Amino acid sequence: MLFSRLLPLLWLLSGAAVGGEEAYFETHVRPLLVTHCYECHSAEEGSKIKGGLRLDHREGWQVGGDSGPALVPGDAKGSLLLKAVRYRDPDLQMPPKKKLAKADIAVLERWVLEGAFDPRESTNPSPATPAVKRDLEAERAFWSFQKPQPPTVPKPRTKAWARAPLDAFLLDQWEHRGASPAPETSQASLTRRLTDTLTGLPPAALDYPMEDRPDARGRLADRLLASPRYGERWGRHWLDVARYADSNGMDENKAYPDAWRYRDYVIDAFNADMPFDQFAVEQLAGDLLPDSGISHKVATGFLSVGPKMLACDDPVKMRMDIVDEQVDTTGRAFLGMTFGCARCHDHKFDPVSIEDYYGLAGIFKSTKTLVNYNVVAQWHTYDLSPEDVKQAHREIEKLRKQSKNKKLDEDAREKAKDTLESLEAKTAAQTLVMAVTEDEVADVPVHLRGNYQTLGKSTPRQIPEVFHGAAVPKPGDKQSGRLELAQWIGSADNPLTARVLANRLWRWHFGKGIVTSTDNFGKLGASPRHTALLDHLAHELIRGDWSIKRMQRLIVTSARYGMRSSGGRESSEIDPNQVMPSHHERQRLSAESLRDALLAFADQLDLNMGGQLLKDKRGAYVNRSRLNDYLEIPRRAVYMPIVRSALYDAFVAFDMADPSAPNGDRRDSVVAPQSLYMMNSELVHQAAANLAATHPHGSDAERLNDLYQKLLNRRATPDDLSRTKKFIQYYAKDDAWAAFVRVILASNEFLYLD
Amino acid sequence: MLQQSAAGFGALAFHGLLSQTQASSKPLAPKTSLIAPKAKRVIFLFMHGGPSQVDLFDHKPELTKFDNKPLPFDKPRIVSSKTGNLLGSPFTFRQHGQSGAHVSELLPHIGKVVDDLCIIRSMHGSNSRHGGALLELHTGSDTFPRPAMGSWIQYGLGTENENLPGFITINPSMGHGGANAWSSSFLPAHFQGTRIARNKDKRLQIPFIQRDETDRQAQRQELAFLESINEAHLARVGNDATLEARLASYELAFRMQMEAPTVQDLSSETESTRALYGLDEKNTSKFAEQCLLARRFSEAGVRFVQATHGYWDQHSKLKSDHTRLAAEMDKPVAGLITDLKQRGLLDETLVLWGGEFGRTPVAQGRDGRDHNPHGFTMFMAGGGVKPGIQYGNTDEFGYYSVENRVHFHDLHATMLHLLGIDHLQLTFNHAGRDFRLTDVYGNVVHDILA
Repeated sequence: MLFSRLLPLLWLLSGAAVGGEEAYFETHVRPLLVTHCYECHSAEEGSKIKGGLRLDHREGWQVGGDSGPALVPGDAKGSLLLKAVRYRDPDLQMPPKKKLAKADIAVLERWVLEGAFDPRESTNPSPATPAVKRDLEAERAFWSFQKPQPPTVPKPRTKAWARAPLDAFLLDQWEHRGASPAPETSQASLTRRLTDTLTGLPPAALDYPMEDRPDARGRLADRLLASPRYGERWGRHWLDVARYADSNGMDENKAYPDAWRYRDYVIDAFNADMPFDQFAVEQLAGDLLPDSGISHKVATGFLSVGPKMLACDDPVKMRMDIVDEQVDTTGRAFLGMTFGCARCHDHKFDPVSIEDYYGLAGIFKSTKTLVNYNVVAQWHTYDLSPEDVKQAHREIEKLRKQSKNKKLDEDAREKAKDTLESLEAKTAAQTLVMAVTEDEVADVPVHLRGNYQTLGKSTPRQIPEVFHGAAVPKPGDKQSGRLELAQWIGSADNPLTARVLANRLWRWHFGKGIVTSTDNFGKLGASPRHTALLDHLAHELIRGDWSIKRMQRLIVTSARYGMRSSGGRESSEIDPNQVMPSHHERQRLSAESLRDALLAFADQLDLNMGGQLLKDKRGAYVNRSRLNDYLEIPRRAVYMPIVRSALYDAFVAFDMADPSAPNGDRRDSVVAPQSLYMMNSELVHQAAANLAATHPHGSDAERLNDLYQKLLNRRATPDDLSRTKKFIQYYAKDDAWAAFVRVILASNEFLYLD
Repeated sequence: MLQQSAAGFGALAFHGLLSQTQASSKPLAPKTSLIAPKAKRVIFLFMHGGPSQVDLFDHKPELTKFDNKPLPFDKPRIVSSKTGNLLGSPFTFRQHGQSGAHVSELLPHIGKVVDDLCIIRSMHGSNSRHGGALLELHTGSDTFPRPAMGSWIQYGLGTENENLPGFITINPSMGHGGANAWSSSFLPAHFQGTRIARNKDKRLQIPFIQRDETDRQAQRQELAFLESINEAHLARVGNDATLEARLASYELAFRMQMEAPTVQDLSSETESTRALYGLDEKNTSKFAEQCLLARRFSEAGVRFVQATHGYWDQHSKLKSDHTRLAAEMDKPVAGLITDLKQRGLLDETLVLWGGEFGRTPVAQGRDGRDHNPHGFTMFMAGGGVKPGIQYGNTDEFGYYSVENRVHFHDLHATMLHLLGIDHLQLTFNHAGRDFRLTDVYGNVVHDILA
């Protein structure tokens, strides 16, 4: 627009160019530009063209860079170049390292005011902007963008081993490389493994024994899957992906007092075996479903509970950062796509353009997450209380004001206070839900280099183009497009969702995904260690109407799941990150499994479920002095409030997922703070003391057997007995049995599931 | 002590420790360049809240002259609060040392060590709120959680002393990003900062480092027993590098438990050292303890030690509160620099001082200043920077950095350079791309390298 206004003026100038102007340009202006600007704004060799702006020929500043024309002849105010050299706008200061001398600035001002005469024609045209339209057809050939086809179940040579098709896929790979599977593990270790996999608790805490019958494993799996403890364990896996926490965490650290509803929704969804397609749709667009109820709105807490800067003086930045966090999290959580990489430029590796990114950003910008962008900003909350409760709470508010109103006489205030108290006592709590709703619907222009001050062309809200090979739903003008996006994500029509989920399920059973980069299925992600197995599982998932429990039953009753951690025959050294190993891979107890087990052993574990445990009031900052109190909450770890800016030391040491980013693949580290925790923490000492005290009976051998059963789910061997006897006999202090239990708790056999 | 305990656990555990070191160093092999390192360690003295440059280091006679006059140019497009006219500093400045650096009357002790300082008066950052600015200073990003600079440095350089954490932050703020300021984020957990906070009896301690009730002999027996049952387990289940590493990690924990309290015990310090930091004076004792601990950790080989002091956020009561805060911090900081120098450690230790931003030369109320990320002062000392210089400038009132501007990204690039790391090479692949401490920015400030 500026450019078209310029045209007549330029025409005038070209006729009026006279020698004086040329001399002024050559003696004063050109040397200045060469010295101070060309390094970053010319096509000369060794130079760069920053911000797309060239100052080495006339057309360069006429067309301008990302921010538009650099100067308007005759107009000092409207010329960005002058603004930049005057150094008064912190966002635009050039040259970046040092302000020009006053005299130099005056030269440029005079030059612009007098019409910006510039004789320089371009001799060295800008390298054509890489208008390389990506070859999307070719890009779609990448394995993860192709719809999974149901693979034929192979027929391995060894007949008796496979119990399920998934076993046949594995065995086939092993046989091809000359490997054979590890033998089946003991019933005792399988019980421990299975109970932890499905519930995150030690067998002693549940007392669901493995029966002595051929179908015992399936029966135990069914009991565990039906236990409410299952949702607590598997909900936690999803909460890692959903980067769940109870505070915004990045600046003033506001409490999210209503986030717990989302956490409980996730746990309930797993316990109820909600089909994953539905689970996906509800979390992204539950509020837009035709019969949207409370739980559907709660589900969209997925988009709300992320980390946020709520104290940012730049409201536009604040808003776009939240949108970005949602785009990135949605991509990684459901599709294994790192859309966030395309915020500033086309994705360097995957076929996601900056237009694709802002197509998604438009959907989330048309979604209301915050109700204002003040410092400190406030997020959107639904009041879904029944009408009478809402009414009562309005009344409570009124009374509260009256009781403090100094204009009223004391009697009136007292009366208000009394009524307030009695009303509060009999009124139910409000149903407040931290979740998103629709905002004004609008497309978003491309933000060049991610900067909202340099906007490019507008992009329609849409699903990224690389997926348009098949039919994709298109957002309309009336709604944000979240529902269309959600329905596409929660369907078999896109090639990724089922694969990404099947892979995570594998990861959460076996410690390592078939694709080891569980949250990145792009080109920088890992290749599948077994493509056919992954596609088979993805198909099973869809075929079973996205039931997660059905998949889990298939997995845990497989021959693969029952294998020992060692003892297979391998053809040669294999790289377990490239192929599927022919034995089980040992996994350490998670931070939560460890704590829950210790609480159970200390006889303190409280199995009550759900509810609000964060004590901070609505609108308050997190009160960090309460963190130690939260550590004392004897509930399962999944219910302990997660304060993003103050994580529990022990949980961090044991690799809890960083609650600020989606994570489907926790680390499994061995670090000294873990050992310090096992040696010195209060909880370990309490658990040990309690177990020692509650098993005081019988001979040493009996006592030892009891404790081994409880801690390790097996009987003590004669070796165990002789070793322990010696320890007990020579121990320097008198609480030898408690010391013994501590040592078992610290041992590899306890910390790892064989 | 180290050898004693190593011998106590036998050869297997010791080999395990080696294999742990090797195993973990492979995937995380530091991508160092061939820059010759000048500094081995960093001590960061973080002034939380935003100390005012124009009242401490950035002497502006014009500001005094035009006191209560309007700012003759535009304020930033984005500000955190409404501000009024220019506010001259209520404090007097005088020149110090051979370098002749101007230092405010609030910092008489730091004034005495200015010839060791490289005062950068042209710092600038991107965010005008504590949380964002603090995280940008600590992690390079004011937008999303990213690894802290201490984590990046450990990742790049590894540890000098296995018996101590490699990145320690003493008494940090739990607000304004809190744990995000010492988080390893997507870097492996080895590189997580260890927070040392005051425990129940007000002692600064590493989490779970010891139990007062612990009987050393009994604990040694427990660990020996643990070793024997772990070995028996290992013999039963076959080789497993992780299980072996865990054997070693107990040995390491035991040594940490022995060494850390010794490092944290200040009683071995001489009277003159205590006096140097102001350890026994009422208003300096707290930060003196942190600075002295920082020196002791650093001396023991901890790569990155941070000590936090605050709260320098004087939207009002500038005069009284800056006076008080400066008095708490001045002597311990000068003491630390003097002490490092006397011990010959200053050359290999980079000391960094500063806040998440500075303050405006324009007033809030009659006695306060707002946040100002557009121009403020930090200083470095030792570790390969030029001593006795003042680098860069703000405008005549101290609002904007205008000459030899140094952004946080440049500070990070320079700090890494001094440690022998090319900031462009120190990358970690995460979520689809390579990340750096300096993101896509950062230039080494070569002018300040010695």
